[in-house]
Amino acid sequence: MLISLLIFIALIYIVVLVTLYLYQDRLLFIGAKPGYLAYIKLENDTQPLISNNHLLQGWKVECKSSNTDIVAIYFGGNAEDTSNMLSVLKKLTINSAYTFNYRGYGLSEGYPSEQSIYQDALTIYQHVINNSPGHRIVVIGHSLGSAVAGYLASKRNIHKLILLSPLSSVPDIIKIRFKNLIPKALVKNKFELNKLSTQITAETLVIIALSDSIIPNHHSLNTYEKISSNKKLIEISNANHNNLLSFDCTIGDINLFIHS
Amino acid sequence: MSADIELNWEWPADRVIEDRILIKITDIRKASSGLFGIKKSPSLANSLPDPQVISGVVVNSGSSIDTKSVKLVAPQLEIQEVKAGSYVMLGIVSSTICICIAPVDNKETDLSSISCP
Repeated sequence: MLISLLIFIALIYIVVLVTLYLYQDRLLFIGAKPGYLAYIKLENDTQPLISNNHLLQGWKVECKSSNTDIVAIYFGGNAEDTSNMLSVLKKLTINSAYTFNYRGYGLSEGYPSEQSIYQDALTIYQHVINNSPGHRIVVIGHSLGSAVAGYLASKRNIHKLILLSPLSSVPDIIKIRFKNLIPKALVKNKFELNKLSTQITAETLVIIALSDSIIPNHHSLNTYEKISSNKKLIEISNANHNNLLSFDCTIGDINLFIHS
Repeated sequence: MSADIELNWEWPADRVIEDRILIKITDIRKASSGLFGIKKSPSLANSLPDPQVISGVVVNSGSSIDTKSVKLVAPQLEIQEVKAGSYVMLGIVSSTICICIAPVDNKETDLSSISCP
């Protein structure tokens, strides 16, 4: 009887593991439905880009200080249509800001994966270099986008890096959500920013929201500790994972850091 | 079934329309009340009185949203005599919230002349 019960539990566990393995992309890359009505108003800022035969939907907006030689690239979270961030990016005291939806997000073509997003990040970097020659590049990443920003910073020469609510890695988040029941080997897209952090050479600002319920603060702090370059940590009280950039003080701190 | 543009109904509450789109209605039907009628519970924040699902396509917008499908769940009271095949102007705020539904005679109607709400 006991053996039958154990076999039954083991079978259920295996079914759960197989299901999670097959559907993990959907759980991680939640995606963003196209906001057609919002896109109409942004038509003048549209900046489409072909990356590895996929059309990426993107935008370039002029920011508050057209006389500076600093441009930003913004990478969003796993459920974010980055067009929603344009009004926030415009508040930065830099020349201009670029942002692109990940594959499968908004009107970007294809399907997202860690490797494809990283490849696209390198293409976006080159696009920005070509379009804004001679400008210094600040890379900003929020949530999952912090890993993309960290990857880019570890591979290319950038002026400064800003990580908002950075994760340490996807397996670390899974570990908390599923109480160690999911083996790390089953995770396809790891986004291990904690490992990339040791290769970052650009001066880095990490901002964490003290009421973040998506990425625990200690994960962000773990990443922060591992950054080997000059770094600064700012904690925003009352902010949560999704409203971190809606605080004026966050924007103020980013602007100060960019020009420090 | 999902649509290209999915809008949520809210009463205007002194808000001013930001966007106006003209749609041709393809279907109107009662919204599902869910298992055991649970979606009809007035305790649910997004419950609407006698909700109707309006499906349509954008016409004559002169922009990239022409022919995009639209879905809106709105109270029967706000829909009035509108039926499948007719044209209505939707008044929208924040790109996703519809605050008024105004019937129009045809697709050539000048939307800016329509008072809504």
